[in-house]
Amino acid sequence: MNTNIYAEIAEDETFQKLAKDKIKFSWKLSGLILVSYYTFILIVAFYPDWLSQPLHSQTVITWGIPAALFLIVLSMATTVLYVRRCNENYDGRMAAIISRVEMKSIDH
Amino acid sequence: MLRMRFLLTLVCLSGFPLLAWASEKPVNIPAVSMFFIFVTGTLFITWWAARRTRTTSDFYAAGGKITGFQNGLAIAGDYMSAASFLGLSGLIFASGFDGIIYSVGFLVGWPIILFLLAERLRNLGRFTFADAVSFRLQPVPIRSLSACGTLTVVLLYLVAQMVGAGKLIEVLFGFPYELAVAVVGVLMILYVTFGGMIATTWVQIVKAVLLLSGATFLAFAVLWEVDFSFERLFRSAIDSHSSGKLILAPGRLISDPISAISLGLALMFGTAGLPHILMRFFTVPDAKEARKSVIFATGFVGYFYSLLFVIGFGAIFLVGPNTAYLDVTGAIIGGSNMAAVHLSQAVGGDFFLGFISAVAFATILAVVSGLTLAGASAISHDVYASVFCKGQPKEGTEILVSKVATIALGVTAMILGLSFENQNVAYMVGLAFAIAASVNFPILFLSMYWSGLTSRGAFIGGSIGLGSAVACVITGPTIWVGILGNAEPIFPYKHPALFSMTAAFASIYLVSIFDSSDEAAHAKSAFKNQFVRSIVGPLNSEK
Repeated sequence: MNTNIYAEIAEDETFQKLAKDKIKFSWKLSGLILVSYYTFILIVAFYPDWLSQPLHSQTVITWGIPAALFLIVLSMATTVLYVRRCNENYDGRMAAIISRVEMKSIDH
Repeated sequence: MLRMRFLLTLVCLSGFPLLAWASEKPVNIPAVSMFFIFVTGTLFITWWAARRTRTTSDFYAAGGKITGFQNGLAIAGDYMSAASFLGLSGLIFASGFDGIIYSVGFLVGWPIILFLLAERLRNLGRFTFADAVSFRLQPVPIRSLSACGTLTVVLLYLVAQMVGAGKLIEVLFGFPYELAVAVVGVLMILYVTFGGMIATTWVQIVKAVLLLSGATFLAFAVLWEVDFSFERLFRSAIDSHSSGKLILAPGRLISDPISAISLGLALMFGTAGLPHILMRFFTVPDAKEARKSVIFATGFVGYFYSLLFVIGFGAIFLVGPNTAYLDVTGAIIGGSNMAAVHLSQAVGGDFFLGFISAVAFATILAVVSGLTLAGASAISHDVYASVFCKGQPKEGTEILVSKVATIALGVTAMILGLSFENQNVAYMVGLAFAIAASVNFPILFLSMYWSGLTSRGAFIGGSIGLGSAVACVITGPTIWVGILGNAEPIFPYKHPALFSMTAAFASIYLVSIFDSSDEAAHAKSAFKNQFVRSIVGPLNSEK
């Protein structure tokens, strides 16, 4: 009985679409973080001079500082985006699927 | 119960004269008082938690009753450890931008955990991350491996915290280092043995609030000194630091491209493999709260690290040139780890020094408790209950084994803390991350995302990840040359993650695809069920 319900959900087309959407979104955001972070790391590794250039002639602040701050802000922003998408979209669809499948199995 | 409270208070109060006697310096009253207030407070929390801890679920996972916000604070608390607060600010103090590179690395793992791991972990497991990994795989090899990975990471991390605590108390109170290590060890054993996850969570929350407040004030005070101009902040730092302008650029600590990439990998993916952090995901009731935890944690930690930038650079010109904080050789008293502590006195006098020191010590205590609990549960839940007792331990014995394991871990950590007295704390934590990234993360990630993973693949590949990470560290510059005194390191890089992670993933993959046993077939076919469960969560029909 237990594994049947998961198997049933697995066959459900709305579930498959939901899973695909959620996973695609997760990977898109992950990709954004990974690309940004590793670009930063590779610059540190191979072109550290880029980060040691001052922002402009009147300052000592180097490009490295805003680069680091950007990554911090990006981390926080993407988490907010993800949770909002889940709250507004995925959670609702998931609940609908679960109640539908559970109803069906009760009828059996 | 009232008698116990009375006894506890007596013990704490009697510490005062003991302290004055053992101390080799004039006693800093505000520091000592706050220190004792905090310790007494946390012992009280432990006592309160002990009364509420009745079941195994309470002991490991606080009964699943922690909210997303509370858990976010607790996770942030775990993360804003002494290695972060003292080590990172110390690293920025000593090397400028290189410390920032470490900080950023520590933070970016969080979004990844949120997008890829947090919810699935909560949906598949009960108490430890090994629950999730072994969901469709054979428990014996997988849990044993997870336990090894967990214990290695936990011990490394514990030692780093012990060293930090020892040094802090030594600098602050003039206590001998050995005594400080002993005090930390004993307290942490008490917290975990009596209070389990409830105690460690709430101690962590209280400490997180104190630490965030203290760090905010510290950063604010630094900015006040430079009239809130970042330009002045950095100029003052440059003028006071021996490397001048170079501190605003990468380079001194990360000596070559391979090390940079290796460190980057360790920091990002190690976060996703830290057992004491992963364990916190099971303290919330469901995946949605787990998700909320990460958002709050990321926010708090991001804010905290931003503060650390200011604190670290501030220390360069407010502490660095101030001879009151330098010893006869011109080096900072207590090492670079103490930069933030000295800074607190420089901007806020003895009172603030006391507060920050108490908070730093609280930080260490809270984190070591979480770590010890994670290590003890690996022994009791993964090895004892699941492997020895085949998942059916006699009622009450599992918790008993946890408590014994806690004591053993505490003693081991104390012994190791004595041997590693002079290592940089942030580096040791970085190593713990490298190992977490090479063992725990690969098996957790692949078990959830790759249907082709088999038990044999996970076990052999994960072991190779663990073995190679440890071997690279031992034969690398820090231990082979620095501690053992050889001339040339066998493994040339300080950061092994690039190699050990590659080794882990590659061997897991190869062994799995060539694995044609029955077990392999079963693991592969069970993937679909696990996949649904990981997304949907445990359903009512199963509860």
